[in-house]
Amino acid sequence: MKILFSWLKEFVEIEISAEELAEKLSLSGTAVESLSYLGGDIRNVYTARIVKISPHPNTDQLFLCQMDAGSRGKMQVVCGASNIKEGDIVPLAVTEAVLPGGIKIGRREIRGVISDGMLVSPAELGISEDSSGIMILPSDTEVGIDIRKVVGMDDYLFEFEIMPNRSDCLGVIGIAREIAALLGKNLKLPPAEVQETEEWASEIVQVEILSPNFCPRYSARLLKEVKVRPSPYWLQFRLKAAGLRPINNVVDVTNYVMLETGQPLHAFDFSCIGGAKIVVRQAKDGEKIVALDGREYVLDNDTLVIADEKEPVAIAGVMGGKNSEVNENTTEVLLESAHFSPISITKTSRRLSLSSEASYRFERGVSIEGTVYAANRAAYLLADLASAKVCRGVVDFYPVPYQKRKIIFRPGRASMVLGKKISAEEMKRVFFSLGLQVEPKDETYIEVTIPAFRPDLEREIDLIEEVARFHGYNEIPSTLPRIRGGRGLNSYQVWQRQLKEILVGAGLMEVMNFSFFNPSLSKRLLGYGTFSGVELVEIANPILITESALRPTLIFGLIETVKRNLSRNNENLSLFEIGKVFFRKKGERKEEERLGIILCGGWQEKDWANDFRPFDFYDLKGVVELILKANQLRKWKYKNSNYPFLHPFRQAEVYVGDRLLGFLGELSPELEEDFDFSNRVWLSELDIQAIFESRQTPYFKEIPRFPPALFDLSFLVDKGIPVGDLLKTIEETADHLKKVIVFDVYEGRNLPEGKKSVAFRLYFQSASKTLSDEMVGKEVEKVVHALSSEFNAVLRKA
Amino acid sequence: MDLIFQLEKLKEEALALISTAQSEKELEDLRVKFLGRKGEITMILRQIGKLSAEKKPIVGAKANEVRDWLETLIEDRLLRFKRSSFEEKLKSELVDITLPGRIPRRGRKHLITQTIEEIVDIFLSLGYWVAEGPEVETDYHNFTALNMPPHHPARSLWDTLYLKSPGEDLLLRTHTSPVQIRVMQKEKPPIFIVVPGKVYRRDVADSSHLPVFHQIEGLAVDEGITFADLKGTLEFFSQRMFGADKRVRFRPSYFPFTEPSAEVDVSCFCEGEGCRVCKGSGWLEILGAGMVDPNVFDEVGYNNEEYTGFAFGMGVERIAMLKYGVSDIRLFFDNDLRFLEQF
Repeated sequence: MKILFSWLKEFVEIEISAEELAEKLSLSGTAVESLSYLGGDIRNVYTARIVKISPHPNTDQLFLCQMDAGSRGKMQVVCGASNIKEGDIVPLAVTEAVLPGGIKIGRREIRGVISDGMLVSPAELGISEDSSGIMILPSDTEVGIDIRKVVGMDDYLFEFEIMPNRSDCLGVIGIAREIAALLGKNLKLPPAEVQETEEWASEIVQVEILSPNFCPRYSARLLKEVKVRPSPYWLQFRLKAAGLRPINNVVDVTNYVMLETGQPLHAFDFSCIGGAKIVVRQAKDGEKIVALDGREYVLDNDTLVIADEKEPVAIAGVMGGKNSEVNENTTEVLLESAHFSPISITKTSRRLSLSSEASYRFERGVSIEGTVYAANRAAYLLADLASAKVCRGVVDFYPVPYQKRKIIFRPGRASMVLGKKISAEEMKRVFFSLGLQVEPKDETYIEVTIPAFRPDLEREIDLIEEVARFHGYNEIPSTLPRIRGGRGLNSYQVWQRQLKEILVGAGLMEVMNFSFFNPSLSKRLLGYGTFSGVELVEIANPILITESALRPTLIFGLIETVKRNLSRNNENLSLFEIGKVFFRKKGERKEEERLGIILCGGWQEKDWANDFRPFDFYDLKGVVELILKANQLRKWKYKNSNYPFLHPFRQAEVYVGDRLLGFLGELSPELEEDFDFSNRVWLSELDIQAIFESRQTPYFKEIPRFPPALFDLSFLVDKGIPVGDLLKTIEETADHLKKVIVFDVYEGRNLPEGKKSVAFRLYFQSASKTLSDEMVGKEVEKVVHALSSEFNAVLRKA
Repeated sequence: MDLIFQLEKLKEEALALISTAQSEKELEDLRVKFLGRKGEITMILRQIGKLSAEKKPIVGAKANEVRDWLETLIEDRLLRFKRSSFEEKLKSELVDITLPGRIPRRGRKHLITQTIEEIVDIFLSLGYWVAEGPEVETDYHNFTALNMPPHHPARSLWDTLYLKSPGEDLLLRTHTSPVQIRVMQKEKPPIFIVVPGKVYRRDVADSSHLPVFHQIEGLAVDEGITFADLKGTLEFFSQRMFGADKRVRFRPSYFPFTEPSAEVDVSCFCEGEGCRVCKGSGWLEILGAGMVDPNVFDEVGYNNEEYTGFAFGMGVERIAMLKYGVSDIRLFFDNDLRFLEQF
């Protein structure tokens, strides 16, 4: 809501500066989004009379004008405009003048003649688009005064952010009332006493309300002999400052009064109202109307319309119809000042995707008591500006008059809620200054009567807020409550922080991606492994079609993140994300937390101390196992999997017991190509809730007092045999085995075709004694035997 | 020859040899030459037995003296050699202290995670605890229960993403406030919680808007909680978060689920000089707050005469932008390594 300072000043005496007022308003709840001085771009432009016009000695295109700028002196300017004549009063930019856009004017020579300045067009002053000629001011304009004072530019524009509950402040009067209360001044309402003709409006117009629930009040005035023409300059200027486009005096006055009072008005060309009858009714399904925006709207039974005896002439409270628009030939005008239910207007506006200044106000609630005043005010202005003859009486359909709300208010409760003792007297003063009626009842409470223009004041707490606003939030002390029942972070929250610390300590960077998902990716995802039986959760009104579902996995966000970084030459990426995924499974909606990991490049670039080593499967597996080990998990296992977005021979699922934790593997080479990666990408996604729930608490084990015995063994086995199977057999076979390390895996030269060599280091240790060579030898023999019989493994010479 | 004389001569000779010896090896050889089993001193000592009884002790003493002297001398020289060769060895191990170290690779928690933890920790220190809730919410929890029945004009304050969900009114929560409702429906006061989490708006990303971002919600409900308590709490938070010298300002505002409501500003880092960040006002808007609206208490079945409470909410990205000078909110979800590594 944009309002000129001068307009506010008409309704309340303001002795402080615009800046001070803006600060006071902001601190009392009427947020001032911006405050600007209109004439800030203009300097040294004055009114002046053209005393004499004579030809330029050196060209036919230009004239010499002798100017009288009163106290500013007499001067001569060169001018090329043809719309001026001697005696005209015009704006004169003198030496050192500045015009909007930073244009500087100075004394200079033009075709051999000195010009002391320049005559200026409305466009050059920035007050309209009119650049056809010099701005001609009214002939009674005083000369030698600052042009900004004459054209209304010596003014400030306030831009207010009005909260949805303060519909009363969608009009100048509402804001002026706030200011009056703040400054302790009286609110002055603009005149609305109309000179009426003998003819009764009610004898000419018939109004019938068929939906009184949606339209509880309909007030109208009939105007005759209306002269439709452009509005005067001052009115256009105020409308434009408020962001409205001037159209003609009738339409402009309806808008002007709406801006003043907050009550939307509509003007019908009465000659277009068939049967001279207004019917407020619900539309018939499929009924059509062409609105003032030129578009045709198809209506349904939930839409309230203003109709004549046969068809709609307006979408009630939203927009008028083209068929009854006021135009330059209009002479009879029906002014509508009605009240519509907010819910009805909200629904209509949303359904038709059509909103207007009127619908915006009706949605937020307009005072039902204000319709007649607004109609009178508009009639008063049109009698003046359009020479309108106002028919006698207001046609006013108002079956159930407003019952003023009464609220019981306890000053003691207010002090208690606010945490400061404020006197009942001060509270009463606040209410009174806001136009509320106060009736003291007894020591503990008063009764406050709420006028219709404050529909937001419904309860005691709403009045407590008014007290706080005008007492000043910053006058209330600051205290800390005594807190009971603190319980800190829960175990999952603590655990998740630790998990992040572990990953960060291991060199992974945390990232965050949007929770959206492109459904076209789902054919590569859904139906496999952890995604079997998974359906997407879709967004009904997505911003982008590529973001029209919620992510069932973190991996695509991570892939995009890697891609984006590579395109910016950020290499060697090891990233993780912890976030929610969303899906439906067996009809049930799920929202679960996942950990996604992605590796691309290597742990570090080559430098003087380190070689570059590209990430491989075992780097990824190592990160996964770091997490499992950090949670004291031991018995995890891997199974082959067939996720279509992963490399078919480089992927696995990881389990703890029977619980699937997630998958890991290389991004499918086809996808690597699709995403245009030249590097290998390694991916994992884990169910961290499952890890959290499987985690173990460590329990102390005696530190062995007896030395370990080491034994290295190297075997030749078929290439296809997984080393994990060998390890499992070793662990199951040998006693006193503390740990086994795979210290070498070799395929290639010097080995028989189809074979590989695998070397193990076995650590034997007993808690109760030093193991003898003999005992170790026996265990080693068992291992050799078991591997040989199970896997046909041949012991190699060490 | 007189053994005494021989000893003296030997001493002279040994001194000359030992003091000119060039290596540990030479010294070891000299040790053998003089003190070894077949060394010259040993040879002399062997002859003592043949001497008269009166000469025996004199020569014996002298021989022992020379032997001890030689031993000390050689040991001393050896030690000197050892020390200098040790020094040589150390010298050869010289490092270039200017070569870069092998820094173990370290990741970073995302700046948003760091900021959430920072904020949450301030409230944990006051005795609050952390509650969380779903990102997919019902229309009821996100709006209706928060004093915004269907068609309430305040609903337009949030551009909402709705889900395709036959039979259910589901949406992506537009704020963390629905968690207030979930917690209060489950528990009785006292309630002192903070709620971090992702929230969603149907906004196109630009330098100050994102369709997905983070909020932290706070809720305090107990007997006798006042607006002054809200002020004190948020002042405490602001000064911990932004610096003890910061001033805090409260402006009346409107939220459907609080009454009275406030916007809270903290004094700008420019100290009122006026800068780009505060647009010259000297104040930075950091959060919205207010006393819990009695209608919300009615909705969750709390007695609104017995209990009062306050709630507040802040945008984590905004707080991080102000505190760390981040110029564009999109950077948080852009995940450029050069951004992530800075924090």
